[in-house]
Amino acid sequence: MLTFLEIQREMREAILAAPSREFLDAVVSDRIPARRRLNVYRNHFRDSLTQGLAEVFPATRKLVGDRYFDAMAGFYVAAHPPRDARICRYGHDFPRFLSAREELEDSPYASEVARLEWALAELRDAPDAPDIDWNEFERTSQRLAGAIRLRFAPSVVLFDSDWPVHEIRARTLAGSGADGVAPLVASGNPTLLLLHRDPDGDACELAMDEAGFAALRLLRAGRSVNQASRAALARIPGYPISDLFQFLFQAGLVAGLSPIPASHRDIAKEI
Amino acid sequence: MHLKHIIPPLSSGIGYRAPHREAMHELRPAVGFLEVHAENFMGGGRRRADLLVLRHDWPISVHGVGLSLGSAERPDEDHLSRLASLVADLDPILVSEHLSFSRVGNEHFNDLLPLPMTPLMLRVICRNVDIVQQRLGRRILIENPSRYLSYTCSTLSEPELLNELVQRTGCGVLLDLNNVYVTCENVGGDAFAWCDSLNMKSVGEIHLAGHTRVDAGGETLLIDDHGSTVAEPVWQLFDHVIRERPMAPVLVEWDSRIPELPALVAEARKADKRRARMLADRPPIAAGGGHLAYVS
Repeated sequence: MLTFLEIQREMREAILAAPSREFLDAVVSDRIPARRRLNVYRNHFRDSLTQGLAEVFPATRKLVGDRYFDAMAGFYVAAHPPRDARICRYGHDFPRFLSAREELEDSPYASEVARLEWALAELRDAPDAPDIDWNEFERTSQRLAGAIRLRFAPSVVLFDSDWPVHEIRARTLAGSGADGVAPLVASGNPTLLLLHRDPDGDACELAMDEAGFAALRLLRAGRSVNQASRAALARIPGYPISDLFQFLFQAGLVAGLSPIPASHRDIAKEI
Repeated sequence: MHLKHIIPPLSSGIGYRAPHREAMHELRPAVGFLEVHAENFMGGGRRRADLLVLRHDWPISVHGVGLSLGSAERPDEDHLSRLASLVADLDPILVSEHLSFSRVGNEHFNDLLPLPMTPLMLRVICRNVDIVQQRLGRRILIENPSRYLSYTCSTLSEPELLNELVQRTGCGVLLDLNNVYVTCENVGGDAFAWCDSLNMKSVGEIHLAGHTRVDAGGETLLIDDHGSTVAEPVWQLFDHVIRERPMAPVLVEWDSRIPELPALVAEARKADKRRARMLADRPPIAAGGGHLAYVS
């Protein structure tokens, strides 16, 4: 007889693959055989998660075709069961799964669009965090001569891609077929986006230039305001970095400030 | 902020789902309370903000589907923390979960998987319910899920197990009458007898929902899809149970093929009318047996 723990492990196998003979014997078979009864759970698992992926990746689904997407989602679901009880948090590895598919070798931007859609799904559901006031930043920054780090709100995402995925996604959702997307793909413009949530909770996609994006990347990596400013100015002399900082605070994208200890500052300069 | 929430007596609640977001604000239906799936509101952003607004106008009940209280493992600490945070923010009138498992190791199966009804399972779920109640600092309700199979090793009936769980942990029961009917039709048993063997005093909430019938190799299997009106046999069970527990909060769920809000509210009204009719036919209730109330 199966133990309590074995029953739970056998149920896992029945859902992801097929029930063992021993597990079939552990389930009452009467007017309806055990295998058919277990199919209810297997089918619900696959269907609900496939539907969940379709909701998170609508543009990707349109781009690769509904039937292909659903088939890939089915493979993915069977190979990558959720690690979180929340269905809206399912699909983290799906873009990488798509990027490894040979059939999509000719359209590598498809998995990049999926990566953008996952980033948008994550930020919509990211935890709230109280934001820091611009005046507090100015005071602290002056006092510490810019030797401070910023901590972004959990809903802030820096997204970059070698493909113009922002436009591809928008055009695909608007109903463009492959012909509408082809010129964008041919343009080969990369994507640099600051993704965040507006006060109503809607996702915002802000296209960035290289200088501003470099500054944001350094800030995200824990570098100081000074270092981020210098990086932007090195790329574009006269870059309006203070406008970028003001935007970050006005949009409520900064959730924390922390001084860089004096003993670390010299090291930071050398780095 | 201190809110006093009282479920209006005899006023059934509805499951709040995202497609009804706009209609809730426009129509402001006079329903007793709203119930939400905890997992849909554990993040931040618009969904959580909307809920914090709704709680000013309707009592909120938090219904979890992902704690996996029947798992051999203890409840997932991260998930429990998110639930505790939501409960702290909302101060809901009710918090509930299921007599089922959905997690094996670190993997989640997005379903209410059936448990073997054994003394060992009872000990496991008692341990897990204790952990959750201690963490949340409150009593929770445990719902009987719909089942599509039973195990040969089961030695206890579902009501026996729930009665014992209540006795040992002090939790309550969320009696889902559609699930009772679906389970009894699928695995055998009489739904009325099932209800009669449950300690009715432990029932802190009643759920109603629709189900569908599918063909399983020439035999009929009932699927608890929450995608239609409440079926007549389930209403008959409701009439039977509500005599015993007339003031229990009643909720109508509708999760697939979701209709316009008025259709869902109409289903809740139907529950109100049936309850009123049953109450009219029974002796007056003693004072103090009243509706659920709390002050936060």
